[in-house]
Amino acid sequence: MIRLLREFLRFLRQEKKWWLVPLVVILLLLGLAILFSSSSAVAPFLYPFL
Amino acid sequence: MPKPPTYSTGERLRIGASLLPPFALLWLACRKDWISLDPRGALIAMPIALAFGFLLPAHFAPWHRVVEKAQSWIGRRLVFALLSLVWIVVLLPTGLVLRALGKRFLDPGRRESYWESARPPGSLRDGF
Amino acid sequence: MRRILGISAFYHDSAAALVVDGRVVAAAQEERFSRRKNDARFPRRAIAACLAQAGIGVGDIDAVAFHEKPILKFSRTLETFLALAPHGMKAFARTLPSWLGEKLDLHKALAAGLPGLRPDVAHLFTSHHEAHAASAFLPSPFERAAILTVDGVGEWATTVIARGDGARIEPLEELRFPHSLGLLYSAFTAYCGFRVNSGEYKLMGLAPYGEPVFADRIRDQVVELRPDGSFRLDLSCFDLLADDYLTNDRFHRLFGGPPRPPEGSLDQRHMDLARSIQVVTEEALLGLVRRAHERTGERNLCLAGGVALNCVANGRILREGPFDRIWIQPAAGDAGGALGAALAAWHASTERGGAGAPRSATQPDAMSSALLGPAWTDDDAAAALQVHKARFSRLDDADLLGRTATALDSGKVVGWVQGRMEFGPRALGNRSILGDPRSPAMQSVMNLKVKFRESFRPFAPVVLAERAHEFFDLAAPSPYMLLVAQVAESQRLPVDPTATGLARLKQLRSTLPAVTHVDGSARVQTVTAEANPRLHALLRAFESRTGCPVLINTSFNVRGEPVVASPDDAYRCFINSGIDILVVGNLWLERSEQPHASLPGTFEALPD
Repeated sequence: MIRLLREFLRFLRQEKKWWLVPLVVILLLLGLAILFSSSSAVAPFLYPFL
Repeated sequence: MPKPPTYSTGERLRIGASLLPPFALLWLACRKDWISLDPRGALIAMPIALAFGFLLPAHFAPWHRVVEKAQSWIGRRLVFALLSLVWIVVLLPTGLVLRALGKRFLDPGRRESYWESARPPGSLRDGF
Repeated sequence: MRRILGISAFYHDSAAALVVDGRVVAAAQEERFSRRKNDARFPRRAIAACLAQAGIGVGDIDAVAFHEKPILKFSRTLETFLALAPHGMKAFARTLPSWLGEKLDLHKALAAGLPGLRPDVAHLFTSHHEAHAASAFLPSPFERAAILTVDGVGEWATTVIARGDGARIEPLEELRFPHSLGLLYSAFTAYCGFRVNSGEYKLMGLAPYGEPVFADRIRDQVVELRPDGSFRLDLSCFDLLADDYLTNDRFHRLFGGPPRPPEGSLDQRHMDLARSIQVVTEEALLGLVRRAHERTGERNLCLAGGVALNCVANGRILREGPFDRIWIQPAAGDAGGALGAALAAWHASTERGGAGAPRSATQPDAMSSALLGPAWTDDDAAAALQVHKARFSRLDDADLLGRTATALDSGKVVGWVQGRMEFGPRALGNRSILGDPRSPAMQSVMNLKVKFRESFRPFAPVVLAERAHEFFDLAAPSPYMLLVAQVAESQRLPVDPTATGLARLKQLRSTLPAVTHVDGSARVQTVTAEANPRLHALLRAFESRTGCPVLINTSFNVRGEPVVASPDDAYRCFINSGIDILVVGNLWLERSEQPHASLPGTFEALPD
């Protein structure tokens, strides 16, 4: 995911689409959070909170 | 005779953990005095439940499946809500401001020709 | 980088292709194995089939090439949502999870889908239209050519004109989303009650029953065609937030009513709509082709992209367009992107010497007649049939061909499974249902009793290439069933010109009534002994018995089912449909001798 974020930022710099930066960063962080919460190491301990 | 299914440590742990939510709710109910019991009882019951699930996975597997379904149902709705929030807080203002500044994303407007010079091919190693 | 695996996935029709030292060794669509039509999931079964064909494992792959640029496509999706705000919140929240899940982080998706892949293996990405262009030009028989790719949408481009020279493909100009001929055609497909991404053929097949009464309205209000071949859609007619790019109320008012529900009644208005959008699409394509000619000055044209499967338009491009020769990628849709991505990666590779190194074009092309899927030996097939306790006999070639020709001549419908499976949407004689084109009843028998599909749909003829000119006005070979031509005047019969709509279906229009569409056209496949010796030999056998070198060739499946892949799929389909004879390799099966009246199908029945 970090690799992806870096690649994405390289793309946005190349295209000068700065206005996409906040949206992309937030979405990727959200993606990371979803990933983290559903990965097998953490999931069991999140059960009680869902 | 079919072989009984075997469970990995991870699966056993997940099945055990799926027994925890009722006790977590019980603990919460006791803390808030909805039920007049000592909340510590629910806390003590949790590792015992975990151990039961871990040691007898086959017995609790159906319950685990129910919890898993509920979790994914809640998860999907949570993600939907979070994405709606992102749309309201980030996407909507960005879109409105950019369009107020004259940015045309999709409609080139009426022109003589709609051809654009082709995007030069990027490196095959890049995802863009 | 000798062994390159090409992949297309996650939108519709996922597929895998394996290129070894520049040669296309195998290619297949996931739907054939998963038995889910237009399956878009990661093509793990198709990959396994391709690797098995080459006798290698995942660890032997030297590079993986994906047919799209995920970051570019995702940014297009976000920009579309920015453009549509303050609408689209729900669509945004509904669409994004799949992006954040697997479609965006393809490094992760590829690693997950290919366990055992060496960590040093490069993940490569071509753009959607680069993949289409590569699939159109690199396997073509031309050293240099103009390339035109037209489809729904990839990243931003919906239409690209490029020049191919040696191994180099130079994109020249493009039209961008949402201004797309593919999406326009799909919008009409959905409006007429057919499923987007698979019902387009039905709309094309329906068109000859109608008149182009809405064509002017489409040109005036929906799509503006410029003299230079470019065009722009009027976005006020479309609902870009719908899942499948559907039409809105303004569109419905323009064309006289709400969309036809699937399975609703088909009336003259739908036929007229089909004809109208077909006419406008052909005009737009001819404009694009002329532009491609102007920009490149080339004499040859290569076509790919989903719109290149519109074989009626292709026939017009061949007859009326400015190019001397055209070659169309048989897997012109997104499945072909897997092949294009792998070929593009090979031709750009340093092992080959980069895109600057020469490429010598292969004749008649480098697609092995599109027979790129898996094959089963007679022993494998016999084992699969024995599981069902099927009754079959093993015949030698001469006996098999003779008996098949006799059965066809006596009006029997034959399921014909031979050699390697086709890559692309058309069955080209290795996973086909065959019939006698001279029989007036055959079209409705095959539509209604064999394939359980709409009666209006035409069937395609397969003809010996050396005798094609006697039956069809076809100016070029059509090995992939991608060109529509008129049935030759000498074969035509007079018809009552006052009949309209579906009443025309019953008319006897030629000496080959089962393959002659109501407008006198046919979607021809020509076959040479080199391209498909087995099918060629069968046509010869039928010809020597009947004098007719033509057969009906339709895909071996029933409505809603992907084309059969294995002998097991074929047997189940044979039992559950109205096919009389099944031939698998040299095995001969007659319906009346089988122990079953029906068998559970293995496919997921979807509305097609």
